[in-house]
Amino acid sequence: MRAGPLSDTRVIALLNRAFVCVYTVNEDYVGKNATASPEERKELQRIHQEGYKKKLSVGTVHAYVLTPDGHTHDSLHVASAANTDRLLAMLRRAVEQFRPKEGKPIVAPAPQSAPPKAPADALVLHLVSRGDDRGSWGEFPGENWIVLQKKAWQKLLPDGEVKVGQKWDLDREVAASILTYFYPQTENNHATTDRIEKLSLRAKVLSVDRGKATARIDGTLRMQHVFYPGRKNPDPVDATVTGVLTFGPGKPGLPSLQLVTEKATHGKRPFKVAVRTLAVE
Amino acid sequence: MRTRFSKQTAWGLAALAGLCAAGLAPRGAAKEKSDAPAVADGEVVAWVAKRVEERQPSAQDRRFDEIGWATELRTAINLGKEHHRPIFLFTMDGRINTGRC
Repeated sequence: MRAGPLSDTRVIALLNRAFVCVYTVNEDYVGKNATASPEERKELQRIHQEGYKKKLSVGTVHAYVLTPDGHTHDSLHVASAANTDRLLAMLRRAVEQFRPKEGKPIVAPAPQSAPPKAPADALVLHLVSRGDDRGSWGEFPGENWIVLQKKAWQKLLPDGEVKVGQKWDLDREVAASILTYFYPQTENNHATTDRIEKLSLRAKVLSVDRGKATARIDGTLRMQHVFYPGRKNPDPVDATVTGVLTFGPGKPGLPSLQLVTEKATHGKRPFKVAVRTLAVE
Repeated sequence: MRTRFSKQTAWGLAALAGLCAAGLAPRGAAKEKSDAPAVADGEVVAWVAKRVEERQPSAQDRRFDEIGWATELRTAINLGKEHHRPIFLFTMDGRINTGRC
């Protein structure tokens, strides 16, 4: 949907000028880890129930049109909604029926992948991962926001005086909290660190200049990752990683970290990852 | 012809010398060579920065952001009532906004 109709100029324009738009994530609404409020969950259940009564297509992965007062009006299963013409037809029928006053989007468009709130002394990392293939699973990249609290990122740095040529291994636990997201776009996103079989990130100081140290990072990763949720047939992720860490030895400021894969595969599928700090000092 | 022969001989001798040197070299040295990073120290900062930049989501990847999305279902319904607009609701597994879906 995102790479298809929800990236189509006609759909975007029609949604913005005539609709109020919202998307929901099923994991937030159903199950023991649901984070949506009871009121939100109740509303989604009501929309489903109204759809059943109207004999509409109802399901968890669906596009719905609600009336301006919030009642279920029309729907498409995602397999149909992913067809831009079918989605446009449903939207145009609604416009024809409800004759909304068209204009600017009611909610101002904004980046939907945004950094989480974090303490000022936390290191916020943004990870982008994309399979080299294109098509359904490779159309747009996967992203993760990783927040390293001060106690965590401090473990990435060496103790004491820093000298050119100095080498050290980055803390395994902190490294794992980053590398665990080194996988391409997959339907499964259960990214626990116990999937990691082997990792190493080794730093070497290249320069110390005016109180700023620059170190290169080289490493490898081997972990198991399942493509579909709930399955027990993981494929190995193998990656070689290169990066740069800059920091002020003995100074309180945040370090800057960049990591990229040189080579990475999930099973036979090649992919690329880039990680960077949100704000590079 | 003579020159060509000489070059071939020179290359052959050089290759032979290289093979011999590799064979005679201590194991540690051979290992060190294989562990050498793919990118030289003097180039690594620019090399990494270039790849980080190249791998960022493109404007086409971010077209989804051009739609004005309400943050909650009930908020959308209230806005629909207030502005007399129908509501477009998309429900899915996973997080479409980060591509982890």
